[in-house]
Amino acid sequence: MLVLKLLEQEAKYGYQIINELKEKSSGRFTLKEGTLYPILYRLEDDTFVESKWSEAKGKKVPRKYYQITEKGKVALSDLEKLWQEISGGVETILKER
Amino acid sequence: MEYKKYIQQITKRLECSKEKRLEITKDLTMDILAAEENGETLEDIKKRMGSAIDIAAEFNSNFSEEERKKYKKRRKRKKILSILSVLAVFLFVGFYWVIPESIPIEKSKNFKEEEIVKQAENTIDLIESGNYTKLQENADQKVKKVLKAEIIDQVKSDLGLTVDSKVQSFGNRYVAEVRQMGKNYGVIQLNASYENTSITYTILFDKDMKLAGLYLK
Repeated sequence: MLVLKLLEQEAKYGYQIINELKEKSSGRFTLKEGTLYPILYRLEDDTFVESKWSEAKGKKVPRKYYQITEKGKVALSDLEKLWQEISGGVETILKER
Repeated sequence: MEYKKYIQQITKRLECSKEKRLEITKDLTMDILAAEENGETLEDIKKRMGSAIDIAAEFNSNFSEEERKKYKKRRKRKKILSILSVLAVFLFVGFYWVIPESIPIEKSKNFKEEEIVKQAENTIDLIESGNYTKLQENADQKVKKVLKAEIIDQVKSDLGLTVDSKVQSFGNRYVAEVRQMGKNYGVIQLNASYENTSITYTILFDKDMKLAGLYLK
């Protein structure tokens, strides 16, 4: 869900996703390549994201960008709703005295 | 380039299809180069990403069932190919071991031409005279089993030799050493002329000059 969320606004490449996730979670979520890439491959197999290599510009390394698809946006919306239900339920229990 | 070795250490441990392995190699290469562009050293990158063993293990635990099946299929195919290659080598070596290798008699270290010729003529004499007991005494264990009187008599009859047949003269002869299946033999092919027929004898002797093969035509 978090990977799809990070791709919601713009296409990003692997290293970028890892860094953003770490920054935005204040270091709580540190995804490693061995975990991130299989997630991206599965999202791509499920057609929730699609990948595209950028062209090499001068000395810049070509990058593989991942972009969320329409199907991916629908899946993200479903996952966010599910998360809200789960977190709402957890919060209710934690607030009980 | 150092990072290539690092990536190789990871990808060689991946349990996935060849295509996925190539994809991961490209993705990791891109990541590392992007990190270096961002100011990280390779040491920083390795520290952040982890050891090659750990990264590979992480990838392997996250592969889909389909990827695992492709890997198992590839590994099975590789195993079969390895077995076939080893088998091919054995067959190749075996094939050459079975093919007789001929050595000119003058270069032979095991046999002398005169001795082979003498023993051959002696063998022919025993066949003609029907002295099969003596013939068997001069033969190796394998040949002894097949050198039965009734068999030799039948062959002689088929070739037109009678009880009284005696060689009138010897014609062309070919003498050599032959190596086959790790054993050395002295071989002679000798034309013998009789009154009503001629016969080509091919006779093999082992290193002890025991009869190891006999062929008449």
